[in-house]
Amino acid sequence: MAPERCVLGVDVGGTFTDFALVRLSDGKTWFLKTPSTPDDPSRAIAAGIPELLDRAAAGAGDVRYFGHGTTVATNALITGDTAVTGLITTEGFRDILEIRRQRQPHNYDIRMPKPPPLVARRLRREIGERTYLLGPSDVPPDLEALDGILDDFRREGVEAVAVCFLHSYHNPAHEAAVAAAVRERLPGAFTCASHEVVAEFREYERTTTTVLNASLGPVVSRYLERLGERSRALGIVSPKILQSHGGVASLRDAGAMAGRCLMSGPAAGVTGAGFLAGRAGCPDVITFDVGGTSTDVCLIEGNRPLVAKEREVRGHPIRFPMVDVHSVGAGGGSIARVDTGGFVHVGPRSAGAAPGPACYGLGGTEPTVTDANVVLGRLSGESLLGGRMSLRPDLARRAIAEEVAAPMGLGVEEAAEAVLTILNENLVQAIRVISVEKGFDPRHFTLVAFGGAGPLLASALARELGMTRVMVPPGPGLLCALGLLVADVRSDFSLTRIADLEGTGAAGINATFAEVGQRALEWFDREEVEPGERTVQRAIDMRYVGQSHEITVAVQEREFADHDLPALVDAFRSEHERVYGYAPDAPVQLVTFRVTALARVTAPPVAGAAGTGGDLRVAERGRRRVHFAELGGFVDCPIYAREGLPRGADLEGPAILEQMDSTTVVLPGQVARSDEKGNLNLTVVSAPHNAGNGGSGGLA
Amino acid sequence: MDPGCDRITTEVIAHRFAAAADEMMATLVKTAYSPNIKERRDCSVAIFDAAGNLLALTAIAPLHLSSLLGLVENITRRYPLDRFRPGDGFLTNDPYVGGGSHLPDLTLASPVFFDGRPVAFVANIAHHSDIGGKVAGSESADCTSIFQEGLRIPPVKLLDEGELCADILAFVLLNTRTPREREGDLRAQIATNAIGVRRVQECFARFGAESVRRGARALLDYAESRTRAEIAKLPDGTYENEEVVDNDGVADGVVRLRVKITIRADRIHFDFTGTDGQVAGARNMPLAATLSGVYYAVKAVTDPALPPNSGYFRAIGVTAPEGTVLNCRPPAAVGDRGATGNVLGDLLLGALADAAPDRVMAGCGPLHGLIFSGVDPHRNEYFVDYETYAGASGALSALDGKDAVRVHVSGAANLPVESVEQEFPLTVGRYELIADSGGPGRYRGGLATRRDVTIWAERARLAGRGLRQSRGASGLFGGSSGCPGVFVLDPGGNRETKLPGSFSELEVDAGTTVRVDTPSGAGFGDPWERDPERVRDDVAAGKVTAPAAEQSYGVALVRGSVDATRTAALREARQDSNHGA
Repeated sequence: MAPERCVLGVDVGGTFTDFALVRLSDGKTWFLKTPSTPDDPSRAIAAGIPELLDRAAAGAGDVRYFGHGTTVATNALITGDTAVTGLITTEGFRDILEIRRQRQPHNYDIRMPKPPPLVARRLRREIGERTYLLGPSDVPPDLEALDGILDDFRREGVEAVAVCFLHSYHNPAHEAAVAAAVRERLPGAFTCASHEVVAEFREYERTTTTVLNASLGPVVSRYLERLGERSRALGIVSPKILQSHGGVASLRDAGAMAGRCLMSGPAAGVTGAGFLAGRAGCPDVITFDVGGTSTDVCLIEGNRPLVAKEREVRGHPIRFPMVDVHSVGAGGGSIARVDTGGFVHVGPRSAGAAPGPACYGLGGTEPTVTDANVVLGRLSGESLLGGRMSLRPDLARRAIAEEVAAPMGLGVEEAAEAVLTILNENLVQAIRVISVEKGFDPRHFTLVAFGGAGPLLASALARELGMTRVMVPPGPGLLCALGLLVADVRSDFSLTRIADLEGTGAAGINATFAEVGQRALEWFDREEVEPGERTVQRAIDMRYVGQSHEITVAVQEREFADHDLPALVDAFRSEHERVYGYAPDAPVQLVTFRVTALARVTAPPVAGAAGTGGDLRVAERGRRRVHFAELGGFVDCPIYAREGLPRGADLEGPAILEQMDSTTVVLPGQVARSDEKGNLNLTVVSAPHNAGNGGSGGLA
Repeated sequence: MDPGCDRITTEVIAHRFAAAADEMMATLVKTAYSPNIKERRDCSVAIFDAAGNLLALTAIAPLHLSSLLGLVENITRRYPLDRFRPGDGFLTNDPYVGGGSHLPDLTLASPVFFDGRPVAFVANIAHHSDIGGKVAGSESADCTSIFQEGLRIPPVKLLDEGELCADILAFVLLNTRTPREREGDLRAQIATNAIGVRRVQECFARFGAESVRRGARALLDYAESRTRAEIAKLPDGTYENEEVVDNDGVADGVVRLRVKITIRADRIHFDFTGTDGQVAGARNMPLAATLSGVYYAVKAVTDPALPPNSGYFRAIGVTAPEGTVLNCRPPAAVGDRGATGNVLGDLLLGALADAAPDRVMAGCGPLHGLIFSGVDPHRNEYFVDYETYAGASGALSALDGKDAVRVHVSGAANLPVESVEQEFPLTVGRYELIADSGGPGRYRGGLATRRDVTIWAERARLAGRGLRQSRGASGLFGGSSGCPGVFVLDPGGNRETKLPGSFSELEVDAGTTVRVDTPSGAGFGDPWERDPERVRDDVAAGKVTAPAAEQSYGVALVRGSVDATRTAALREARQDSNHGA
């Protein structure tokens, strides 16, 4: 048999490592799930790959592409297992990292401490040097002073060094000279300079980003080196590593910019969900990923996920492009409680896996979202995970009765509905943050629901938001693996050069883009991307003269001529108008120039689902009593097996669809239909706007 | 209808209002022009019902609450409700007739119409970095009447059925030193209210006017009952305290603040009788500002998550005699009311220390402010840079004070050094924590900051203000005081001069450096009982020096470790001397 070309995706989570192998000729996909090996995640990978190849009767040489998602950086940050890091900074400014923006962590909670700085004060060292924008002449760095500092670093066991000087985005020479000297004199350390990491102004944010990158560098690099060795030993291609922005990077790039894979996990899900939705003809989607303790949502417009320039990670602002995932502390395991004033709160506390929801029967007594769903019959009261886990509906009922119904003076079902209503409201706000607040109307988007509890909650959420389409992809395992296989090879470059548009003109724009573009060009060469496969996207962060919050505006890829400038201003103003609702005719300033370098990856085909044609009844598994407030209480509701659902047949709510790892609720008035790719599509009727009674559950 | 179900609707409506306020805040910060709002976030937003009850608030500084208390009543006193039209917007800043707390805080309020009637109000406050008056930045502790502090704006229509009133705008802009910034910030305020109006209307459309009205009432009752439940947890009693403000801003001599707090079951009452009369300088507080300090303190020592609305306020009683520094009469100057507000924070938490020792913090180091102005030689344009520098918070019963943070009722961020040096003819020489500044204690007070700024404009003007310069913030339960703050001209140079705690119109040459050392936080508990390992960590970090470790804490170190023998000896010797005394 001729070798079958295929692509491989491996996503490492805390508990499981998911593998997917897709044959390029027909899209046939093989999956494998094995326990993760947290001490060295590459061990599970090296053991799993031959097994999967074996199943597919493929050889190592047949793997054309290997995409990998890792939580190594995230775990290091959570466990504090980051490298001992030293900071070398401008004399007089070593406390920038600790003074932060001088705000209290909370206005009223005086007991909330500040997050500890990323580098201990004794390892934050200063040297004489200075760049000024105006006024006095620059002071070159005092390289003599470096020896004493590096001796101390050696003694303290410093493994990573960050070099951050004031205004280095404007004049990188001082940082470059010091970083070069550090690399030479302390060759074992992972060293990075702030202008290499994020050449943008605002010293505190640039310093935290650089320091975070340094502290993760040794950890991530060591892991990637091991993974590279194992790949070579197996004879398969070198992996590409999924980055926070939803693109992938080579091992070398990923190691040097270790902080860029912090959001690798969420990025994989978003990328995969966006890909599947795009294939199904939905370029504009909102992803809705509900886990046990939190929910991640992200907006995708025109097949491109929104990317944020900055994000707070464990209390520290990090300026890397990251898929703009918004998280709220509410999920299936979130605990509901009633406060002293009689309001219900859901989350952020969660029952976790142990003791878990009350219905797990593992000793939990606090009511969770899962318990509310069991009380209402939305979740089977018998078992979860296809029968592998038996449930105790009596305990769910008791928890809701004692902790919610009694203090509120409600019936148990009403109390369970109340828990879901408040949860739904939290989720509504999460989606509003990423849509309405950014100038997007969620009603024009498709809600793509995944994660254990996403499909359970999506229909009520969509109804409240006026979204008419919900899509539930075939299985969560497939989503992340697919995300790894469809992400482009990508790197981002930025440079702050603040200038009034009027003064700098087309020549100034071209000169700065040439400077950033050169770095992109070098990257393409280093990554050996063929000239025909190179794509460049350019953008400028712009503001009105006098503002200091910038809007990123995508701009043309060709050189600017003076007659292009009015269009540039128009593009900025229309974006300002879209986001903020007004756009004065005032002078405009250019702040940061951005170049994204992409090498497109050819997405593999997606095989059709094994669905049958024909009668819905073949998928009916039985019926049970399910509570729907809009129907006045419990009704006899059909339960279907998701896998057996015939393609193209309309299934009218109320109905429950069960599959191994999740349950989909179809509300009364909604219609579900399975498509040829195995996606389940729900058509949603928006919430009744009854004046007398509010909550989204429409309590009767 | 089942009251429980109603409560769920109420809760959902509460979420909608809170989300609308958050979105307004995000809009204001992102669209404003001046660094003071966009970088330092010196602004707040609020939503009221038609009767003027505060329903939702997103505040960066608790003090801003004071500009919102009574806002709607002050507007309707001039404009009856039936004369409002959709698209109207009212501008005000006056503490005596507009509900503001000092003139730079410009408040814009807009009615929300639904079914042809005004059903709610949205408002936002932005601290403008200049609104005229005798000093650039419109904030100087040495003003002696509000007429020196800038343009007083009673509630006036800036927007008339959506149309910008060009006359009013021109009038305001002519009265400020930085009209371009002011116009940009005002436009951001207008955009912010437009978003708020839309969101509140959507909420009415979604749930219906009657439901929202009932929900709003229930929301206030909810806040009141939760607050009362929290107050009931505090032990009954009468708690008193006294604090001093260094001076009134113009003359030497301390100003005394006094409070008697009475807690009986679920009621709490604050009585400020005995506080000194209003002062000649600008450190007076309008009553609304004092109330915002009280509301802050109750949340801080009970439950910080209590919803800040009018129902919450109903649970708290306040008596502040008129004509005192905590409830001043016109035309008292109020520009530096924030400084007094921070001392008020110490006064209140200190008073509650015996009621809730585990929930209060020791005295705090309040901010110091500098205002730089002059002609920017590079742009040939007048500039005003309004900056505030954080002190630090006091220690708690089991937590060191926070270094370099704004405290109590104030909350704005700093201006990045790279932003200062781009936008103004200024350079920053150093910005760092001050070693040994934290007040010693079993838990240590937070460290203060030092910032050196050099001015590169000819004949530039400086104004400065700061409290806790005569003596540091007070410790609790045996903790030591924090360090006082100080302004120094040309530090280390041959013309080194200590400046007073409040000054204005100080003309300086290009190349002059001014140093700000802010005051620090005080300690909690006896420093000689501090865990020696914590002292060692502080020494390793350079936050406490080795000599200070011995003197203040009785901890001796050898080669980076605690010298157990000498430490024991030091601590024993001190006990003996105490007993002897």
